Amino acid sequence: MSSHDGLFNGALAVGAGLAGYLVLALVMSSAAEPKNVRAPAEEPVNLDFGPNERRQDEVLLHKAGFAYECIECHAWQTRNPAPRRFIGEHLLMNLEHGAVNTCFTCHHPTEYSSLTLPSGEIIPYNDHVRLCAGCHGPIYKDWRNGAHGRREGYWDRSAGPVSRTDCIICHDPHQPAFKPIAPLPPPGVARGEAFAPPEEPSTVLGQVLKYVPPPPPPDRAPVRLEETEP
Amino acid sequence: MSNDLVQIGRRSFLKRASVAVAGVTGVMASLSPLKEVVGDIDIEAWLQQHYHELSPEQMKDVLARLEADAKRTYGVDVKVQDIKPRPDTKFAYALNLGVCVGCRKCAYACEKENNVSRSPGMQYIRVLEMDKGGVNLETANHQYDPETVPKPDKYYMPVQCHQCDNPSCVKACPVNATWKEPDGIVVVDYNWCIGCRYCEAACPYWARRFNFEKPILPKEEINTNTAYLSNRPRPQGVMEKCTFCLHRTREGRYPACLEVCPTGARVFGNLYDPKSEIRYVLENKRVFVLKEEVGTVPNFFYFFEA
Ligand code: HEC
Ligand code: HEC
Ligand code: HEC
Ligand code: HEC
Repeated sequence: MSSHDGLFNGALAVGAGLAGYLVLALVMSSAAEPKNVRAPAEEPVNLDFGPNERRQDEVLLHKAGFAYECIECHAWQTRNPAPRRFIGEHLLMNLEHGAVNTCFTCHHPTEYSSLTLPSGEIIPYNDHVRLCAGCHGPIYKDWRNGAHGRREGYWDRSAGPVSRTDCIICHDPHQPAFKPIAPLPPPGVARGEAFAPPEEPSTVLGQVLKYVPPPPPPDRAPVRLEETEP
Repeated sequence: MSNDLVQIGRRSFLKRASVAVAGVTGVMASLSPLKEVVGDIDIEAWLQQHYHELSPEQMKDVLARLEADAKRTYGVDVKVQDIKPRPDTKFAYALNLGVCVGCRKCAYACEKENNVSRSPGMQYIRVLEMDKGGVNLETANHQYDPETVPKPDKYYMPVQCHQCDNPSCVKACPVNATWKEPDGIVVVDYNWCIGCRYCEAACPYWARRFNFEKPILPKEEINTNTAYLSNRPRPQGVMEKCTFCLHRTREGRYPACLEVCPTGARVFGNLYDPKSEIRYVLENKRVFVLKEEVGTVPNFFYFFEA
């Protein structure tokens, strides 16, 4: 299996370094699962409607509480372009992106810390929209014109700025389908619910007389709008 | 003068009568809602002019009174402004049903932004769950509550006020407490509204809500940036509805429901601006309106596009 060979060779090449890494990983891995870079799921939603903050200039592999740059491993590791199930690293990586089945469609084959366009041009991670645009032209056009993706700020550009969310804030580039999310609770049934024909008498006095004091409001737990961006 | 005498006579008669039936607790109980409904209407609010007849000075007094009211009721310093429509602006909204997942975040963000009473059923935005393949409002369900949305065979349609060009609610109002502003927003003067709910019955989109109870508002969640015609704290017994967040949109900002949408399904803008996002959608997507046949000419469009 070529992948094992690659791993094996690499390990021989920097045996000492890897050993140190393994020890660290063993010590820490029980404490912390490998964290995905984009997992601030517990963070409450920012109801101040502020701009989405997400660092894309630096893409790191988070592991055992440490953050590694891609080249820390890929500088010495033999490149293996074959689509496969990973066993050495990126164990949770599972590419489900339509017909796109090789990593190097998007990642640069030698500069792991960059993306690449079909033309071979190297682009930084925070320029990923250009990459997506290459294959998703119509959606990109909508996105540019404000009909796809989320906006915040001012519809009147002369009054203030507007922020646009980048593709990967909603779509994990590796499994781009929008993830299902939990809905907030239904609104409950109120008197005067518009689906039922109104049966209240139509005069003001009639209504006053028919008025039933409301039951004390249930202790409704404050509903937090959870941030769901991946 | 003679009128006054009659009044007093009637009142003392009532007093005597009530003493006579003091034992009949049922009667008293049946009168108590009157106290609930008209109990703490203060006289200034009662005598206030219609919005259109208020001079700038009077308006200043009214706003100051409303701010003081809010302070007294909720203990919060609320700023109430009278924000006028912008020139050369007409607002419209579009919603992409192809990406909406039905998470209801818009409804809750709206509730918070607009100081909507937290009593059940008051939310201005109602998200309908429908079977894929058609728009069947008859079988739509807005009480859906699965673990996660979207469900594979369903789609979701948030419905809020459509700010119609031919609004049946405005025509139904017997006292002119609701009208259409020059920028297209249908507003309610909450101090002029008598709570007859004709407009609620007239609206084909179930977009209006009636404040049955004294609004339930958690103090710490009150939005203190408010406008007279939109999200200021409302009295009990009036109609209210979505105003496209006019306190935000008239200052150039997006409505709260748009900003909170995690899927980016919502598009808002100025119809008169050919470069606006809403114009892009209207010109490039196949949009439709809800219940076109009733002739209300809504300014709220839907389209299906992933
Ligand atoms: C801790 C070491 C480590 C780090 C850091 C690391 N990788 Fe890897 N990567 C591996 C290993 C090991 C494999 C091979 C896994 C296998 O074959 O099972 C691999 C495989 C890959 C592959 C598949 C192609 C190939 O050459 O095998 C890509 C693409 C890749 N990594 C991208 C990245 C990117 C992008 C980053 C930076 C965000 C990164 N890696 C960071 C260890 C690492
Ligand atoms: C459709 C283009 C695309 C493909 C195909 C792709 N990636 Fe990525 N990948 C990206 C983008 C864009 C980022 C930057 C994401 C970010 O900023 O969070 C990224 C980030 C990463 C990262 C670091 C962040 C993370 O999510 O852990 C790793 C590791 C990685 N890719 C590995 C791979 C591997 C391995 C493959 C092949 C199985 C692969 N990628 C295939 C576009 C792609
Ligand atoms: C090399 C071309 C290519 C690139 C680059 C690319 N995609 Fe795709 N994408 C595809 C193909 C092919 C499909 C599958 C289309 C289908 O199934 O109809 C797809 C599907 C998708 C889907 C729909 C997934 C689903 O299951 O519904 C999304 C969302 C998506 N891509 C987002 C992105 C984003 C975001 C990027 C940039 C990080 C990106 N794509 C980059 C080719 C590409
Ligand atoms: C605010 C979140 C958001 C952003 C930002 C966003 N999308 Fe999407 N996108 C969605 C949602 C939601 C869907 C609908 C997914 C579904 O129906 O399951 C979608 C669907 C898609 C699809 C699938 C279309 C189809 O025909 O099935 C593609 C491709 C896509 N987006 C690409 C992109 C690209 C490229 C960008 C950046 C230019 C982008 N998206 C930005 C939320 C977003």
